[in-house]
Formats: sequence, structure tokens, C-alpha cells
Amino acid sequence: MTDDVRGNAAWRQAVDWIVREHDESFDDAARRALLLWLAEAAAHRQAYEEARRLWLLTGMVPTADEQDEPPPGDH
Amino acid sequence: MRMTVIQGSAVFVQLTMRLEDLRVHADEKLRDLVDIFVAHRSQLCTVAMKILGSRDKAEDVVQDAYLKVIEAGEVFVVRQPTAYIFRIVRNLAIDHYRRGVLESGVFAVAEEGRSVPSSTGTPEAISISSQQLRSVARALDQLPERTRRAFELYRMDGHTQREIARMLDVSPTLVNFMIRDALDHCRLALGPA
Repeated sequence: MTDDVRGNAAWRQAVDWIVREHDESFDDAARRALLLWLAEAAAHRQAYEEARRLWLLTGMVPTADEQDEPPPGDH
Repeated sequence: MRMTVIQGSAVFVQLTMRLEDLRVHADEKLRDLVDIFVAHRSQLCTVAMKILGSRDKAEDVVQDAYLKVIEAGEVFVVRQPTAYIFRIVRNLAIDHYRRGVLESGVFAVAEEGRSVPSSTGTPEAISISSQQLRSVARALDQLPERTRRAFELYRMDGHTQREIARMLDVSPTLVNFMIRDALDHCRLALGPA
């Protein structure tokens, strides 16, 4: 239960970092803060890796505009 | 190996009838993807090199992108595959670059004696499966229209959250919430890591 809560907190923070990293305003100070956060706990590093994977996966999905609908059946 | 599969299913489709048209369609797209990689290999390397600053690393990233795009080709029919491939190479190069910075930074932090994190070594390419891609794509499809749009504008089109807020006429706070909501939803769809 407590682990779960802690895990969710780590996940929320990890998502926050991944999203902020994508922002143009992410600078050296922010990167340093991210490093310190990662150094704090294994749970942080684990959550960050999970968020990183998810970020890559979402980046591989073509946008709704880019995707062709499956061809409709002939009538 | 891959070509064998393509030829095999092409023959199979010729023998069957219209229902298999979808399958031919997908295989042609897959071959297109391979062709695009071959035709644009040096430009793709250049894109990655501009981000990574190293020809070797750039080639690794393009190779990794190739494997991932083939995987994606099993799942999606992309309308503009060339643009898509360039985007994937850019995404992976950025991921690789960030990981490199973090890895070197983690050591710097450790040297200051603040804490010693267990290093994960050099940044590793993340492997992905077509199953994961399918789950994430389905999860994105399930999002409310506006949430999906906000997420795409941020993730794929490179707009800032502030810009997106203006475009969608909502508060920046709501944009941030929608982006996080999209990721949370994808995480649930993907199941345990």
C-alpha cells in the first residue's frame, strides 16, 4: 500500500521530468535537478525509465492525420 | 527473412481474394519503409549526427530506428512514411543524446559525494514490440479528442504547452494536465513494466 503510494508519487514525478525535458526551456539547472532526483532513489530511476519508454512509444504512433484508416470494404 | 515473409504472403494473397487486400496493402507499405531507409540513409545519418555529434552514434541510432520502424510497419499504415521515418530517427537521437548527458552527469553527481546511484552504464536502446505499439496506439485513440490533440501537438508537432493553450483556447495548466493524462492512460494500457 505504502509502496504503491510511493510508486505512484515517483511515477508522477517521472512523467513531470520527461514532459519538462521535452520543453525547450529545459536548461542545465533543470538537468542538474533531474540528476539529483534520479540519484535519490532506485524507485525514481525505475519510474523514469518507464516514463522514458512510454515517451518513445508514444512518439512512434503516427498522428491521427498521418495514419491511413484501414481501407473500407468494397460495396 | 523479412523479404521471404513479404513474398510468401504476396503469393498467398494472390491465391485468395479480396479480403486479403488489406494484407497486401500492409506489406507494400512495409517494403516502402525499407526502401526509404535505403534511399535516405545518409540524410538520416546526418539528422542524427547533428543531434549526437558523432558519426558512429548516428549510425547506431539509424540502425535502431530501422528495427523500430519495421516493427511499427506491422501495426500502422503511415500516410507519409518518409516524414515519419525522419521523425523517428530524430526522436531516437534525442533520447540517445539525453541519456548520454544523464549518464555522464550521474557520475559527476556521484563524484561530489552527494550520493552514489547505481549506474545503468551507457544508454541502451529501448526495445519495443509491435504489441506495445498497438496498446499505446489504442490507448491514444481512446482519449477525448481534445486531450489527444493536445498530446500530439506537444509530442509530435513540437509545440510548447503555452502555444497549445493558445491554439486550443484553454489554460496552460489544463494542457499540462491533458499531456500527463494521456501518458497515464497509455501506461495503464501497457500494463506492468
